Amino acid sequence: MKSLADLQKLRDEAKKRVSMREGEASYRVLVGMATCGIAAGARPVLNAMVEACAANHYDCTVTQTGCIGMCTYEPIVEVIDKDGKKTTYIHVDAKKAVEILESHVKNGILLEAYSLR
Amino acid sequence: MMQDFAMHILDLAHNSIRANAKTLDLRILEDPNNDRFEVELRDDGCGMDEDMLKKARDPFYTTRTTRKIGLGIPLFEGTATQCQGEFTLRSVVNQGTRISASMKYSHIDRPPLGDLGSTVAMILQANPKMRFRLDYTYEKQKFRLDSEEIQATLGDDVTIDEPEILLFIQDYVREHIKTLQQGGKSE
Repeated sequence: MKSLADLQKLRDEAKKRVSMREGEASYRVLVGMATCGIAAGARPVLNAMVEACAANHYDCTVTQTGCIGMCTYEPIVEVIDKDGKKTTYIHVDAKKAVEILESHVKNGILLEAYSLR
Repeated sequence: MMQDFAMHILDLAHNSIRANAKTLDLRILEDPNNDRFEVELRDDGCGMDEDMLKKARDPFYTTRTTRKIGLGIPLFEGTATQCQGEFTLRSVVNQGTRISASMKYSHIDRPPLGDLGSTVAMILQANPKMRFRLDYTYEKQKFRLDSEEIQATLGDDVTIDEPEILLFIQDYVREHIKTLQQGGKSE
């Protein structure tokens, strides 16, 4: 069983990585986590993104946000680049979430098939 | 409709975060022997006055401006009452809010607890600066978690919301709870 002592090993690795980071991340990724988002399945989406970020260290921050006001489109993920340009992805699931990070955040290619038009 | 209690808890925790709580305590009791299931969230956020407290249970009330309805608390109350359980909501302005539900463990309509590990990790991700404490009891066995203790272990350079740390906490909570549910002991 895992114990808090195991956390110390992780801490040292995380410390190295944190110190290598420079400046702000290129993208901000927002996951809608209000009642509507959670009921529609936003938690597995956020979970998948956190897991993918832990594995691939994407150049982004992932944060939770409230209701965006389009509850029927939940789960919603917004990707905002450094210039403030926002892309809204709708009906996201765990699989799409990983694709969004891989394509949009890593390679800079918007996934129009999943985005709100 | 929420799938399970872990989803309700994540939703309600966001209320505490919006209320600028410094501390959020989550207490869960699963006691099949005495046929009890209890969930309680207690925060030290801005609280609600009596008028707002009444409105909070009304689905057509919300403090947000992006939509006109607020379903978090009514859904939680609905889950409790459909299981013939008790729901309580108490709040004092500038002191905090306590929301709880208590019902029969064996009630056929009671949703499962769900993935508490994931919910705990996502609460910590939502506001890493808020102190979060979990007090989980299965029958008489306890599992406790305190975000301040974890942050102390991590030191000043690494925050609790680093993805690797969150995933560790998620698995840590899942493992300990599963062990208790299977009749073992934590630690």
